[in-house]
Amino acid sequence: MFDLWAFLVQTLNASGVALLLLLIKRLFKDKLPPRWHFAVWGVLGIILLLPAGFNGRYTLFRWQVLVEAVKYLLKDYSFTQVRFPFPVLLGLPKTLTEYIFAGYVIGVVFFILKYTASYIRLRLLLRKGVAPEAEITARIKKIAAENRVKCGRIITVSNLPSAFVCGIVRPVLVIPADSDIDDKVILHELFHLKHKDTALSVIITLFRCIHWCNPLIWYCANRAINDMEARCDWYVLSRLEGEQRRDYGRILLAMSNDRFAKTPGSTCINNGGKNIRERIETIARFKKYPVGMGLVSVCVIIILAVSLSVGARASKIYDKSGSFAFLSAASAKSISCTTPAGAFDTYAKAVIAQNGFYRIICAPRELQSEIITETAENEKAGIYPNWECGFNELPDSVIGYYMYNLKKCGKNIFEGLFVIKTGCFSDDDIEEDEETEDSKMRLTVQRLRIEKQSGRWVSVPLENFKKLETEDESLDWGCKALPGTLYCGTAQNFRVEVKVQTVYTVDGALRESDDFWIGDSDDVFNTEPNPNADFTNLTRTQDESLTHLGTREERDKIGEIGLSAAPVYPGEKRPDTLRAATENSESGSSSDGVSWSSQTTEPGWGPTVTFGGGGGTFDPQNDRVLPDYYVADLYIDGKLAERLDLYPDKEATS
Amino acid sequence: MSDYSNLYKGVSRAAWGYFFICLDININTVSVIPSFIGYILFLSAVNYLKDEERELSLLYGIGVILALWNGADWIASLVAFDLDGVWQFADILIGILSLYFHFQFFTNLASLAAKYQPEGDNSDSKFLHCRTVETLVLTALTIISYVNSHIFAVWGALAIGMLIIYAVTGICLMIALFNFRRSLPA
Repeated sequence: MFDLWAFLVQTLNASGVALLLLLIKRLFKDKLPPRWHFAVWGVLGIILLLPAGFNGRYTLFRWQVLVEAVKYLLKDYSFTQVRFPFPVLLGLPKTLTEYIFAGYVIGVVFFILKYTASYIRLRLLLRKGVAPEAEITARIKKIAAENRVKCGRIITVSNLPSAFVCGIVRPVLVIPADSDIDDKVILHELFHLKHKDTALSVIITLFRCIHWCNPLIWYCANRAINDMEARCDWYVLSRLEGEQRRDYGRILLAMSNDRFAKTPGSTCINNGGKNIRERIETIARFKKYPVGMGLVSVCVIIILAVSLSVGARASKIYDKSGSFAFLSAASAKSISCTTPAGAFDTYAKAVIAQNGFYRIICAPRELQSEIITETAENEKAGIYPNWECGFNELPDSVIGYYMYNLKKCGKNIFEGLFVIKTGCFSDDDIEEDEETEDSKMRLTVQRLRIEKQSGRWVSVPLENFKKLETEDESLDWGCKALPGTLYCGTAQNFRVEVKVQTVYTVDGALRESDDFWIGDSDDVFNTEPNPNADFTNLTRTQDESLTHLGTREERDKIGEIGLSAAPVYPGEKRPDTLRAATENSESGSSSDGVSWSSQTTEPGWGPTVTFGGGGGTFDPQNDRVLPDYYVADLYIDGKLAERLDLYPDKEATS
Repeated sequence: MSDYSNLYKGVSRAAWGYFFICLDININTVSVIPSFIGYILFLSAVNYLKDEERELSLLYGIGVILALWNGADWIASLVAFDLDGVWQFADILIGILSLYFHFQFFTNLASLAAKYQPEGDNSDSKFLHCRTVETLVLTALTIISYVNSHIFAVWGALAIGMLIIYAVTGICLMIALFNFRRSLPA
């Protein structure tokens, strides 16, 4: 936690969980044993240790929206993220919120020092302690042995109201030197020793210090300490019968007026009058829970721990306009893209819908402030579009967008070509189509980088939008007008090329109904971003071509040319044989990229001959989409002229 | 127990209650055998059996919450709305209340069966075994539902396996309940 806002997100997140746990504890008050009631606080401990909003997730409520809304109203557009569950002061405060955060950190330090001093004072007091008489030691060891509890070191100290355990690494059982302590009290303390409760009390105190200004966490810390005592009471009671149980209640009652000191690293049977009264009520309804209740107790805690730790992924923007536009900005800021496909989908929809709130989700942190200012101010003033990104075309209502040639360019960095089919519903275009039968497809493209920054995936445009036209009818299986990865080689006066294009599509890009654009199809483009999307489909297409580098006279002497090519993926062995590509062999291709085809030439052909190539669908998670190189057999006049390897041409590819 | 008719009625309602909870047949989004009726039958069973098994009365409050929630969910389904997944808070709470309710209910039924089942019958151990398997599978399914989306696709296959075990256990429990009812004097 580097700032006040991160602390607020963390402590509010923990508060939500604390409320749920208190409700559940209330419902299970008389149904599950006290050890469950103590153990369930472990779930809150896990939540307090996990940074809130980690990996774009939230627990129970989207507290960050509330925090971001407050920030927005204070005109603070900074980026808030909880990286550690502990406060860290990065420098001297300059703004009001920084001063408040510094005050909070001073409070944390104050409470840590206070509790440390309290512990040191107790340890100094224990220095005066001496080993008890042999008779007392033997009695305590007997109690421990009978109840299968390890005893450890024992000392006696004068002027103590009751026995207690102190110490974190090597805890010691402390008993009063000047009064006789009941065996049941000693057994209670021995159970604290057995369960290492002194160490747990230190952890509870640490959370108390970090969240010193959150009364709910203090209340839960007190409840946890009480539950720890009630658990030991329960262990003791389960070993007692009838009158002995009532005796135990009387012992507790006798302590109800004694002062209760909360010293970390120690436990004491006396935890204050009010709490003791509650414990006596518990004793009054004491029962041995049925055998097997342990299973459901553990299952409930596991479900709570997993569901609350994992939480849910935030994806929904609260779509508000006018004076409440700040809520849209706040909810956008509280969402992170958790996948590369999510960052791409969110960017694509931000561009297509020209919605700056969507762009905030996938923008690098240094750009967020600028986009928020522009978007929220435009939204407030009723200006549409609320974000000007340089894309001013009408997108296709069904197709939406594509990501071409996505490549991994480093750890957590991808680059690809963002492609939008445009111009379908412009009146001018329709008129033009009818009159001139212009069937060209219009595209707008932009190179895009997707990378992970501060635990969230962001989109960074690498260039301005460019417009293209193509005679291709569809973008699903590649597009001649768009670049691809080019593999090439030269042999027998021929330049051999294989162009590979990959096309990624994202889940949820389409939806059934239409309320955004008017279209004929049932499936229309879904303009709502999915920051947690996955790539669900990947198609790869390849086109082969042969270009003769010689003179026309040399070319005219060639009656037939053919090419057979096969990809070689990283770690794969180079194939020994390929399918023949002669006039007699049929042309074809397989989905893994192997192709073979031939062509009879006419006089005056060339110099370039293009073959159909092929393609297939792949698992988008598959890394073996692009081969290392291709092996190709060049056939001239029905005979194998040469075998060659085709390597990526980086210049041509870019 | 002097009044066998209460025991018979209680077990009968429990068996039919479980039928409503275990099976789910829908017309569009609306269930024709809604779960909330199952919980109402369970609550009725608790009323009939609580004198014999005192701990059953502890389930009354939780049973009411579950009946209300499932009733609200069913009403919402009439307008094609699903309450599940709307509030994480409610999902978790209802999930663990339901887990506990079934566990405790069948623990108490096993205890009743141990007392009243005919010699040689082992309805009590069937209840306990199925209860344990169901609790473990439900816990595993809940965990899988949370981690499924962002760890491995294999969790999906595992979840289907767990669902099959859960369904089979549910059917076994239902059969055991009706068998136990049959063994009681009406």
